[in-house]
Parts: sequence; C-alpha cells; structure tokens
Amino acid sequence: VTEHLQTRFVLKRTAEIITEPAFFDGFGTEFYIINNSQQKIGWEDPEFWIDFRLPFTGARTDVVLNMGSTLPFMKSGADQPSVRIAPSDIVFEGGIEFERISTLEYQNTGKGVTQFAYGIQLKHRFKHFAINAQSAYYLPLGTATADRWVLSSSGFDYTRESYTRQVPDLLTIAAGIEVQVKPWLNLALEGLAARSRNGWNEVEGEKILVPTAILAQASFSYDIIASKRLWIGQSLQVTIEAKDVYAPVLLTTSVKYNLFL
Amino acid sequence: MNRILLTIMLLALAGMCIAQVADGLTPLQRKQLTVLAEPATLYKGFLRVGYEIKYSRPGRTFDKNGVSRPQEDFTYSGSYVDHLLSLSYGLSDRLQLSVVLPYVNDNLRAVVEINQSGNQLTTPKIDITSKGFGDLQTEMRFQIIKETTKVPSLVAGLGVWLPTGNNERTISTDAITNDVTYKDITGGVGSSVIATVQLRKIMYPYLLAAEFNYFFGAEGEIIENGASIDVLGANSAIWQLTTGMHLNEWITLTGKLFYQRLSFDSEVEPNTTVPLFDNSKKELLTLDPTLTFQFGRIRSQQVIAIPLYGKNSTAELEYSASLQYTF
Repeated sequence: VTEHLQTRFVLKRTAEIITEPAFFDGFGTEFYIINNSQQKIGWEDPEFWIDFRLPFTGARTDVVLNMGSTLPFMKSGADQPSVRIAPSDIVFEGGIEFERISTLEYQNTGKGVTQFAYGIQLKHRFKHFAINAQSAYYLPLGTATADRWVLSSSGFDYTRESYTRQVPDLLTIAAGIEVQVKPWLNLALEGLAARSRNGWNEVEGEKILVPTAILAQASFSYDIIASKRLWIGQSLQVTIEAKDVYAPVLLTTSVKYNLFL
Repeated sequence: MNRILLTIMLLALAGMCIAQVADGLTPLQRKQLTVLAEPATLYKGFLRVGYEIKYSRPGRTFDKNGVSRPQEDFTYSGSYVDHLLSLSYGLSDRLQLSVVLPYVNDNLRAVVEINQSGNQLTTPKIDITSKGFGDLQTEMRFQIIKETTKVPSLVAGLGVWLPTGNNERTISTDAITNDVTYKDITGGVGSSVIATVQLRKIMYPYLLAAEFNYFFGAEGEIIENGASIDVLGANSAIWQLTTGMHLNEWITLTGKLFYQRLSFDSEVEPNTTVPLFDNSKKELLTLDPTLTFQFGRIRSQQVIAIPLYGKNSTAELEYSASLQYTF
C-alpha cells in the first residue's frame, strides 16, 4: 500500500485423512472387522493481515508488526458420517468369513468463530548472513456452535447433536538464520514452535478440555529468484517434538509471482 | 505487393534461423540444454547417467467404482521405495538406447487389532517385503521426424524388460504368534515388451508433448515356497499429455496428465486358469507437476504424482527425485 504498509490475504486448502487401527471382533460364529477413518478436506477460514514495517530502524534491520483476522466463512463441525457394511474379501483358516464395517467421518475445515491475530517479525542483516525471528498469536473471539454425529447404541444410525466449543488459541514462534549464497539463491535454517491451548468441547453439559498441543520443528529451505517476477522456494520440515498433534514430515514447494514491480 | 512478399519471406527466414539455433550450438552447449529445449532423443555420442528415487506409502485406494477410500481390513504401514539407475546413449542424432536398472525396497505391514474376549483367533500381522534388483528395462527410441519450427518431432520406441528380478516368494508363519512373513518377488516373471509413439513440439519457452505406450506384460511363473504358480500377462495402455514452460533459462515447470489402463494382471489358482484377483478394470489418472533445474550438465528433477481418478488402484501421492549428468 505504501513503503511501510502491506496487506495480505491468505487462503489455505487442507486435506487431512486419519485412519484408525483396524479392529477385529466377533461373537459366536459372527465376525466383523471395523475400519474407522476421519477426513478433513476443504478450504480453511480466510486470513486477512496488515503488516506495518517500522520506520527509523536502519537499512540493516526490519521490524514488522502484523495484525489480522480469520473470518468464519467456511463450514465448521462435522457432516453425517458414512457407513458401509459388506462381506470382506479375506477368509481366515478354517473358512471363517466375516463382514467389513467401514465408517468415514467428515470434519469440516472452518473454525466457526472469528479469530483476532497479531504478530511481530524481526530481521537483522549482517555482512554474510541474516537472522530473523517471528511470532504470531491467534485468539478466538468467543465460543462456537457446531454439529457432531453420535452413533446410536443399537446400530449404525447417527443422530445430529449441536454442541458448544471453545476453539483453542494458537501461538507460533520461529527463529532462524539465512545466507544469500548467490544473488539469486537464499538458504535458510529455521526452528519453529507452536502451542495450542485453552480449548474445550461441551459434552453432556460439561466442558471437556482439549489437551494442550505442542509442536517443535526444524526447517531447511531455499528460495530462488528465477526471474524478476518469479520466485521459487522449497522447504523440508521435520518434527523434533510433538504432543497431542499430528506432526508429519512436510515438503513444501512454493511458486510466487510478483504482479507489481 | 512486393513488400508484403518480402516481409513474409523474411519472417519465414527468421523462423528457419530459430529452428537451426540448436544445430548451431557447440557440443557443450547442447549438453546443457534443458529438458524442454533438447531434442526428443540424445545427440550422437552423448551419454547420460541418472539416479532416481521414488517414494510412496500405503493408504488410500480407488475402489472398483472409482471412489477413493482408506485401505480396509487391516491397518497398513510401511513404504514403497524404488531406486532407478539409468543410462542413455545417442547412437546417432535420431537413435537413442536406454537402460534402466531398478532396485526395489518395499516394506508393508498389515495389522488388525483383535478383541480377544469374543473369539479364539490370534492377531494376524502380515509383513511383506520386496528387496533386490528388479527387471532390467531396455529401450530404443528413434526420431522418425526431426522437429522444425512448423513440424513436431515424431518418435517411435520399442523396449524390452528382461526378467532379471527375483521371482521367488517365501511365505512363513510363526508357530506361536501366527504372524505371516512374505518375502515377495521383485520381478523375474518373464520378458515384457513396451511400444511407444511420441509427438513433441517446442515453442520456446513452452513445450507440448503427447505420448502413447502399450505394455505387453510378461506371462510366466512365480516360485512360491518351491511350488510354481502361473501368472497371466498384464497388458496396459498408457496415455501421457505434457505441457511445460521455462521459468528462466535453467528452471522448467511441467505438468503431465498420465492415464494408465491395465487390462489384466493376476496370478492363477493352482491347477486352474482361474485368476486369484480380477483387476481387469484397473485404471489410474494422475497429474504429475515436475520442477527441473539444469545446472550446466547436471539436471535435477522432482515429480509429485497426484492421483485424480482410478479404479482398483492406489490413491496415494508418489514423490520422485532424480539427478542426471550428460557426458
């Protein structure tokens, strides 16, 4: 917008599929195998940011203050799970056959509540390298109402249940070092940490706390200025420590196109 | 009128000059051409060596109706890893010979948790490993038509996959835990033949290519715990449509649509001709975005195969990275 002011609009698409361990059970001569999976596929709530780079910090140092918000445009809660019951292909020794019961739960990608977000970015350039640090905090404004689907005790019928929940807050911190080895090539090594807490779900009138999730990762990345307008980057992110959160190895590829030069 | 004719002639001449730019390059410059700018086959006397690693995991599959689902019955874990060593040589400016030697390293574990109270069965845990050199893939490619500014290149290829892999499978069951261990084959069933036709056009900085392959899969046998099992051939048709562009002089980005239809692939019930599994409708459509860097004579390439549609096939991503050097 100006030399010191920038706006950002972020839209993320997520595709997360979790498969629980297969479970085998049976009574008398009836045997069955249960496969439970959850999937979360779709667009997340859009994020809007305003970045303000502080003046009077010198040519070597940048201090940027960030303020933003995520808006609850996307559907939250869950859709009705699907159940399939069919004979399994597998036959055990002795000719024992069994049925396969597969359930698939659909989790929506929205938070259901507006989040206020703020952060800070610091960067200082030395002669041959630069150090950077950044932090962001997402604070949900109020509680959200969502749907969940409860399995009846008599069969595979689901009933919809509305419940209140408090979306956990999220704090992220990152710090690293970057080296410009060529005019067009930047290498970076970064440590990342995230903590999510203070969330709860209402179950039968009680607030059941969502466990505090902690994640610590290391990231190695490079950025290439392919042309004036085109930048390409890749990063490999590995987990050092994680608690109550899924922490896969992440390989990220980014292609950036600068519309305005 | 004369001016118009002169302009057209000059434009045509300019086009011919551009077409001959590659011909005017030094041998070193030719070895440094990107994957989108080089001819469809290697120049005479050029030798290219390469190493590629492919990685995927078990997880989701497309069922027989084309619906993507998590794999069922067991909890699967492990990885499929292929290492491929390749060698290509330009016998002439039109004729190229390629050899690829794969090394297979697949590890798959299938487990199911059991409610011990309700039945007398023990935990079925299955480990399947395939480790060793696979079938040697040889191929000759011939440029029937060399590319000009107006005409795309037309390439025909014929390949033979030789049964150098291990076709012996051992299955053992632990007497106490009932765990089953498979040491599976890496190939070696028989010789397969692959025929290729490719049309390719460079419109610098862009490229458009279409390729069709037909794979006549090997019929042969697997030796399972010393006994012979017949295997029916797996014929498959493969269509590939590729578009690509240069992001700068040495970085290219391509997108490929890959469609494979497998007509049959199965082992046969002992002493019968009845297939054990009917995969006659196996199909897979993937989108393969590829990022390639050309550092002088070294080329590095990364591909992610994203499954879009399929039947009786995997619905998981496959990642591959390769390095090549042209001598």
